[in-house]
Amino acid sequence: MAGEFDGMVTALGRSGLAEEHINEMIDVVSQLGEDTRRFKAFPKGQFGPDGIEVHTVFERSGLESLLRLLTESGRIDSVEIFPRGILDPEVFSARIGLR
Amino acid sequence: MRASGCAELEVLAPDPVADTGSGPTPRILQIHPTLRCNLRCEHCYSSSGPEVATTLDVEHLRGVLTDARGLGYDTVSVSGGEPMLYRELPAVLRFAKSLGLRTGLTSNGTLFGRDRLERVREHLDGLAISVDGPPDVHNRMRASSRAFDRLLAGIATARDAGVPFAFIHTLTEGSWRHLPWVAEFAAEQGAQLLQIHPLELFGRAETGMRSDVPARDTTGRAYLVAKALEARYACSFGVQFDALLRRDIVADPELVYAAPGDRASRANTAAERLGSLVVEADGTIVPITYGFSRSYAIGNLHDARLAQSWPAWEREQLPRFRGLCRGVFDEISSSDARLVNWHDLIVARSHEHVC
Repeated sequence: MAGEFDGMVTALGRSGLAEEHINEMIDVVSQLGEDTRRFKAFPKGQFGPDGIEVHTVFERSGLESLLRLLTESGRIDSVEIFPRGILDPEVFSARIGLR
Repeated sequence: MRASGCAELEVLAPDPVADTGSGPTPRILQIHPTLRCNLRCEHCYSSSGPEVATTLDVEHLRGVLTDARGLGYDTVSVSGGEPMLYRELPAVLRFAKSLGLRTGLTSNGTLFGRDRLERVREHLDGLAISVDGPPDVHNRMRASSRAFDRLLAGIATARDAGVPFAFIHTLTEGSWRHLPWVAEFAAEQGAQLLQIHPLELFGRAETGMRSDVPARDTTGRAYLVAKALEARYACSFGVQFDALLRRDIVADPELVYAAPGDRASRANTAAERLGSLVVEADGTIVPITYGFSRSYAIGNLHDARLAQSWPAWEREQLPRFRGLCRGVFDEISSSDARLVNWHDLIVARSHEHVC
């Protein structure tokens, strides 16, 4: 079961990953806080990470925090948000690219 | 997530400093009745071991429990050394319960057999058991090839006895990669909480593990893994990460005893003014966490009871303590760190700012 985190540990452990990326991810997950249901991180860049992509699933109540984060952060270069649930989504998944 | 000074269980409850959630904040008396231990762990902050004999007598402990209750503390956490080796442990826990205190025990988990746990079970609200990683990592840290096997037996004993238990993992520069393993182990074994506590350079660790203290970015990586694990295992157990977000500290300085005086003066009890007291095995009572500079000591049980020492400390030393905390708060505020190991920082500064 712990194998499901191998990719995340590998991504976070890459030597080229800058501390700013770590900090930015801390901002993402800490601001979503209690609303986070799932969180994973993947490196971006083919020959060495020049960024990181965060995948997260969060409750509707986390939307406000996410929007505040998007307006405050200067390192976010892509955002995709997917509502989950028909008619009235209560859960959202998001992919956030950090450069 | 939450924070804690020494890696102590707070009876499976939120930490007084780090928890910013709702609900009552526990006020904790942490006692170290003995430094005797059956192991000699590399990271031990109290340099405990089989050859160390420093022990407090039970009457001193009864006195400090009574006084702490009177000052508003509601929880006692017993550590060591290995507390299961303290002969009077059942009597101490029974007395604590008779005062209405919640009780917790921090243990290496290897000495629960031969009815030892059974003798304290009914007086115990929770156990914290140290887990350093997979068997080879755990045995290396514990300097014992049998430590993990004995830990497994101990966990089974605790589970069979129906005592709620948490795992405490000491985070090192290398151990953050083992966190998913530790979390899976916690789920398999039925732990109710996984506490992740960054290594602190006290005691034996100070000489042998200087390069193992997690760097700032490593602490950040561990925090991110911990958050992912917290979400993954939300239905099985909680995850407590012993560091504060700088943002939370800045928003609420009283989290680190640094609010302006008018707010601090609104506290009604001693325990509200100082959320945790630590009784070290030589009888010294220090604020916040093991290893705090003794220039801030409240007193020593061999000289006077806590109830006698407290008024003078509150009058003369509490303002100085809060001044120290405000200095550390200013340092935190001006840094760009996202996470702060406040206990580690305040202890380090307490030794630098000796007047």
